[in-house]
Amino acid sequence: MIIDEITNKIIDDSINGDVDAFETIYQAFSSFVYNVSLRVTNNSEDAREITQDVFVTLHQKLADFRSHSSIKTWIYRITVNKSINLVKKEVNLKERNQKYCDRGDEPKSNNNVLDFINKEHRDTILSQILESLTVNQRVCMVLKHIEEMTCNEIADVLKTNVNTVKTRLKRAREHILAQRVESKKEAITNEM
Amino acid sequence: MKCDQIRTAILTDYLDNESSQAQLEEIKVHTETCCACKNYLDSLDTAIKYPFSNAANEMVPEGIWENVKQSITSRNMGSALAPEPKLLFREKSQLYRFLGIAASLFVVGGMALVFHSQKENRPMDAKLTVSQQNEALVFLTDEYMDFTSDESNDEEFYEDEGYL
Ligand SMILES: [Zn+2]
Repeated sequence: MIIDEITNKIIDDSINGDVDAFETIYQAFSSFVYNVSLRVTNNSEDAREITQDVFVTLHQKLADFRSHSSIKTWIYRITVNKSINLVKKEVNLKERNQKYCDRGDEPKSNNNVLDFINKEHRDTILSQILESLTVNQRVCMVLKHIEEMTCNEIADVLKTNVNTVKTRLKRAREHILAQRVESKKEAITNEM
Repeated sequence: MKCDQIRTAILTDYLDNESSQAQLEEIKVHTETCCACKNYLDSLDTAIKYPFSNAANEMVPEGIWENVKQSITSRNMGSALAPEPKLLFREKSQLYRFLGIAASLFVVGGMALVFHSQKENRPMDAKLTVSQQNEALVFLTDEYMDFTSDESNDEEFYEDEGYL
């Protein structure tokens, strides 16, 4: 089930207590909610908690939504809000990076061990990049480059001006680029 | 376009995936002949496009749905026994109106009872009724608090533009 297939009937059935109908909504949106909160908080426990929280709250508020598009905006918005709030509360960034990288129980079969290492490597790079950004820049970068949303859609979710979104994206990219140059310089200095 | 304009376009519209056809063409033509801008484009591809576009979508851990389901079914059962008082007031204005009426009834009722008890000399009865009404008001106020804190939670927004 994809997001755009959520019909008004599914919403109505969920309001009337049909748990299977609500599970359809969960299946359509849970990947977005989990992955966005995971990227923004950089912590799988936090992402779990946020995902659960979003859907329990959604169920309580279902009657307020008339169409799947209003549900979609609301889910995107509350996911981002809860993630930002959590990050702002959390002070020890190093500890959270540790928690995310420590997922030791991931299956590693011999055949795809290389894939696994590559994936882990990419994930670590991405985690480090995201950690180095402000939380607002991080949200914009995740929605733009991972969720592939347009600047207008992002502005709508964040209830902000589209130019603010564009500015955050630009600043984030400049920052990432500057950091790369910085780390290259460091590498050269270490070699000498 | 000059080099700095091309680079700004690459950093913004091009990476936003919102370049016009004309702009894309201009960037393409320019980077074919300008080595510095070609390098700039490549470095942004490596620094941003590569790590982000290859980000794997993590599987949603099992167990989350079970927890959600448990929470909503227990809530459904709860509401079957006693409808949630929250639903009485879909709009805040309705609640305010109700609170206003309740408060004025309370005051009028209280005054009437004071006169009544003075007349009839039955203070015990009057006390009991007033405390019952008090309870009703406390209940309403609690609901009201809950209602507002819930609302403000969802609308928490961050206009933290300090770094821009
Ligand atoms: Zn150039």
